[in-house]
Amino acid sequence: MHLIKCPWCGERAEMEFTYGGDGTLTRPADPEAASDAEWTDYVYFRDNPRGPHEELWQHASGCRRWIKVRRNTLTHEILATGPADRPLEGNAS
Amino acid sequence: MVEVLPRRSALEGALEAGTFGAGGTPGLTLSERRRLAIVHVAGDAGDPAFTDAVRGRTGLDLPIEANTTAAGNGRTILWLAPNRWLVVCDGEESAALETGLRDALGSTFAAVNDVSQGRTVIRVAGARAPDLLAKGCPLDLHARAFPTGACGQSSLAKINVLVHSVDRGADGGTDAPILDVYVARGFALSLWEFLTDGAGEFGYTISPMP
Amino acid sequence: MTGQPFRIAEGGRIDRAKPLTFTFDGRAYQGFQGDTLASALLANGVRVVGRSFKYHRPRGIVTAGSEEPNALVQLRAGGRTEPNTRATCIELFDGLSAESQNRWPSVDFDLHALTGLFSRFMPSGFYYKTFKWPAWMWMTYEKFIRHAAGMGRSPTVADPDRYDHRYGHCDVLIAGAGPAGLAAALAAGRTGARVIVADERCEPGGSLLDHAATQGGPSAPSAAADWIAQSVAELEAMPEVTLLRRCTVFGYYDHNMLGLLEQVADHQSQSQSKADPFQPRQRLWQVRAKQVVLATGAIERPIVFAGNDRPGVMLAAAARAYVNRYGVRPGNRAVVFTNNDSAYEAALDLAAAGVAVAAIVDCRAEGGALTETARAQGMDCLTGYAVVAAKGGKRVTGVTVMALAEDGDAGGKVTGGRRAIACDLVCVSGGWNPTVHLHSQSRGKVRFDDAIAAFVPGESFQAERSAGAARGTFATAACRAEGAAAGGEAARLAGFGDTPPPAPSGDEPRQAALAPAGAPLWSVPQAPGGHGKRFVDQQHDVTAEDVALAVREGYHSVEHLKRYTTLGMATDQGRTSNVIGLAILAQLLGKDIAAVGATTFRPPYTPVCLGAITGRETGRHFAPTRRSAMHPWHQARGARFVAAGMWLRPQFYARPNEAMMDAIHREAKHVRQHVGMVDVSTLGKIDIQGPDAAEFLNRVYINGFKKLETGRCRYGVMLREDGLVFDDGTVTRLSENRYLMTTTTAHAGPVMAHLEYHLQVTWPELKVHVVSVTEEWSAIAIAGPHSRAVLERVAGGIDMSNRAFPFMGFRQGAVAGVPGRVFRISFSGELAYEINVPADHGLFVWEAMMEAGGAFDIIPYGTEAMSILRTEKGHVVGGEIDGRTSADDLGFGRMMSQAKDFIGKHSARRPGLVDGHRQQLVGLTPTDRKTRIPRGARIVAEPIGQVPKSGAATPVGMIGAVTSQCYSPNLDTPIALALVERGRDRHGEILYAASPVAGITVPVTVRDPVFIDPQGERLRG
Repeated sequence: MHLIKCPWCGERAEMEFTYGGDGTLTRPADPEAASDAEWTDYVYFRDNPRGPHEELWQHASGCRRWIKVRRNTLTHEILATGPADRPLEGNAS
Repeated sequence: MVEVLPRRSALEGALEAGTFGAGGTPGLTLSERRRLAIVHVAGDAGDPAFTDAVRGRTGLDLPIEANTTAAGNGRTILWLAPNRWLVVCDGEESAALETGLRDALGSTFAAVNDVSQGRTVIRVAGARAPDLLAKGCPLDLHARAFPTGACGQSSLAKINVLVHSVDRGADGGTDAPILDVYVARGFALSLWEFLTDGAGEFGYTISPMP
Repeated sequence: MTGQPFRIAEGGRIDRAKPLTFTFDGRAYQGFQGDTLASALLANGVRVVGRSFKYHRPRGIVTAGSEEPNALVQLRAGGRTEPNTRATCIELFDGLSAESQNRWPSVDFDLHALTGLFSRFMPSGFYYKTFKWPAWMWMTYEKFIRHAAGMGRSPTVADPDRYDHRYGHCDVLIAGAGPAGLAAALAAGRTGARVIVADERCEPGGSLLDHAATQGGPSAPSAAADWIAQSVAELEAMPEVTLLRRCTVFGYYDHNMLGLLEQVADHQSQSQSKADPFQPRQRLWQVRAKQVVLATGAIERPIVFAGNDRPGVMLAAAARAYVNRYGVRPGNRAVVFTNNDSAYEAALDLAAAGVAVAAIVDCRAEGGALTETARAQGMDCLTGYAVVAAKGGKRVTGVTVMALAEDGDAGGKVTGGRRAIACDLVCVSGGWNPTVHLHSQSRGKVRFDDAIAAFVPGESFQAERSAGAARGTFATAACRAEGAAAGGEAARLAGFGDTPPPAPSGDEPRQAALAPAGAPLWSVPQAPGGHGKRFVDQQHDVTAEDVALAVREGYHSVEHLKRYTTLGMATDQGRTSNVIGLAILAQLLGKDIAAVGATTFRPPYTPVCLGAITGRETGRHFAPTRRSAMHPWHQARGARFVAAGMWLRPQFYARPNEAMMDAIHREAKHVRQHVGMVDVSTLGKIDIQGPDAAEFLNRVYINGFKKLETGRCRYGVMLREDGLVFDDGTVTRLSENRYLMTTTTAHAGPVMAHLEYHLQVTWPELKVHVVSVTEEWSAIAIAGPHSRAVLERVAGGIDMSNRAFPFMGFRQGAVAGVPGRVFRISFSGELAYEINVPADHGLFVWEAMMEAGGAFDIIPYGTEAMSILRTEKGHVVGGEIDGRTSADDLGFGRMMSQAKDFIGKHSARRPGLVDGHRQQLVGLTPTDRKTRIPRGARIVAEPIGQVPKSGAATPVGMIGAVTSQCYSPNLDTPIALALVERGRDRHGEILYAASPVAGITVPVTVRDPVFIDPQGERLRG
């Protein structure tokens, strides 16, 4: 079971969190103006990297904040965590 | 009008005072804290208008640090999130507290909700209190990690809870900890059943209703 | 009752003052407190304790620990029975009963043993090769194979005992309390760090407990025993140290989470357990450790030779443990067969205990450090020799010994004459494997160390280090030193202490080189003309010949070899066989063992019973339940409850002698004719406040909310970003900047997370707070023509007139004296209201309303009647909002605002969602107005006659499906909602509802989904 560092609550058990998918997506600011390709990328297309991946998790049983987690999908190492409304510190790999 | 109406706890009928479980000196005491006023406050911790208004009404500084509380004047403020707190008062009328906070905040961007009747508070006290919660809660409840005044939200028996470390005993250690568990009303009976079943091993006392 | 003919007169860590009675295969025996079942059986001269898995060969006790491959028994009876329990780990208690497994009719006479006669026809892969064709016969074959191969029996009744779970946290977790583990615990504990030490045995001390020097007692004090006692006393006096006995660290998971199984009461007799009914039998720990020290020791491995599975062939260290620790002679006359020095210590201890040592057969040409000592005691040491075969049936009667050829490679080559030596005990030592399992589970690498011919821990991946024998360090003093260093380092890295721990002192038991010198001997080849089976994996009956066959057939990868031969896949996970199997594979392939590599170690280290994994999550503690404030009332009125998520909701309230469907139809009919109440506390309620609240609602709902007036409600539909419907509900504007959103019961959690996501991630600039207030309010829906009249009696302060309080209106006011909220909304299509009051008053208000409704014949109704009412009204729920339907499919197309953006809008316009051929919501009635429309029926355009019950092809031309169906007591006809291609254009058409499951096809008329009061006169009246 993972140990995930909530940026506010500290290191907590994975069971307190829910997974929220790819954390690298940004909703197009003006969906009306977005091309079908851009929109499809946003809604459907996801990378499935072997290695570091930026993910969204919600500290659902804790402070209910959405957070970003950079996790190695191969080894389950958690490389960085931070608030969801800004870029994670450090490099993606 | 409402004052004369008795509030009916979610644990009504479930709490039977007495001593249960394994023989010997009971390792812990279970009780319910009733008639608390619990008000949920959301606002911007960086906005002095917000923090001043809360201080003005409660006499307490909002705990800004995660997993901490502020206590005094019979009131406790528990940290929930960077922009959320619970104000808990014993012996105060919740509607008055809610209205008072809302009035004090005026047009400041904030949200105040009386949640007194949506939460049940179970007090787990005694040397084995942390051991009982550890049967279903992944929080580290050791006195070093969870000292007097700490609070934390987690899962207990798969139910979301807020645990408040009210007192870790005279030596700040494991002597006679008092832990309050806040749970959504609908889950209260289920959690009570989990706790009383799990407490059998330690022997436990249920305090009579206040 | 028999005596204990093999019990030594004195010594051992058993309490001879406490005799215990137990039964094995129905026969009564006696042992002592401190025995294991295995030691007690040996004391009584019982040698055959089971039959083997495949060939049903008689098998005896091989080890004295958790690595035991053979001595698996069925422990206890009834609900407490446990198959495949290792006799070597079962602490004896009074009244213990065990049975041998895998034998029929008895362990001494087993008919399946005939299999052994045909065994040359059962090579590796036999079952794959023989029974896989024809495939449909497998089900038949399997029954016979299972019977022949069974590994004990599962209990058929519930286990009456308690099993518990607990979470643990520590700075340093130490697995193993042998010399290294105890030293580590002392070093870490002295820094003040929080330490957990877990050891699978009943007392700390590890392998020291098996040595002659540790037996202690007033008559024979020893430094080692004193050190153990002092260490344990010191650890137990440390408040932050938890010493767990009978506790196996069985799994090493991500981020330093370890699984521990504490066998709290497995060693107690039933009467002892009864005395403390609250104590769990076992406790499963999930421990999060900052740092871990693995002091898990090493496991001796056998050497393969013909007949090496005969009862009486045992590991040398096990024989040593039986004589020293348990005071039991595992035989009268022993042959010791070894490739290293450690077995000499066993030989010396056996001799001291009165066992005749017939010979020490040492494959090393020059012998070892203790060879001369043994010779000085008169032992016949045959250096450069090997045991080529063990003779005997149900117990070994002798061995055949041959010289090893000088030019023999690691595979060994025997030569010269044969020498027969009579014996009833063969003690084997093929070297020692460090127990690297937990290190490997933690993703640590293992490497093959040629010096000790074994795998040792390599680079760590997590915060762990190994110490002592687990790291390939075998001398006790060195183990203690390593343990102390590891414990100190672990504590320091966890933030405690920075001074090196004191070096251990005191005299040591004599040391032996446990490492085989030079190239180790893994297996002894058959003597010329020999044909005895040479077992590698005794539990799965895998022989050296099986491995060779697999290699010939091309299974060269260790993972393939393992799966093809099942080597190492039994309950012992190849503890004593894996490395030998690898070595044989490597020899056959002409490779180094390092190049062949090891298979992956996975949890659990030793078997964990399902009861421990389940813990208390059984019966009423299976999952949490959520109850409304009115739950006691529903219960008292005999409601049948249905789970809705975690909520328990009243499904219906049957009257005495009333059938379920009658009750449901009565309730649904009564509401439309009179009045009824339903508990809707389970609907999600979200309080939304802030200056941008209306803007936020506009962005999450398809319809607009900016013009909603204070005191009014509006129905809203939410989409997911892919344009499909997510949830629906109402929003009420409570005041200028405050709204109350309701969600469906099922989606209360997901909708809240959705709102939080968009506020925190997508639009953090919006000034809005969302707070879940579901639990604060009890919610009661009152519906039916008399609902207004009932409410007027309890909420006199609110003007209920249609003009003052119209449909979709909202008022605050006292209900039965309780300040509450009243919404005029309707799910049933009747005149209806929803009342919210603070939950502590919910039951009181419910009762007051029921009382006030008495004059109007009010009834409570459950979710079933509610479902009928909403189906009659064409309201969509989970069957329709199934994650595949668009707003337009469900008839909400015109609600979608053109004037604003909202979640899902862009996607809702993509061609696939506006395609005119999509399935649209319609109502259906059977053309005969009698036949029930089957649940889940497919809609087809052409009549296809009777659909066969099974094996039928899918009806061709499927153009839709039934999503909800019921009998409508108010219309006296079955009705259904369905999604049908271009359904809105088909009103009046006759289609067919075909159900291959129910085996019927029903002609149906397509119509508008609103069956009752399409103009809405009732709810607006």
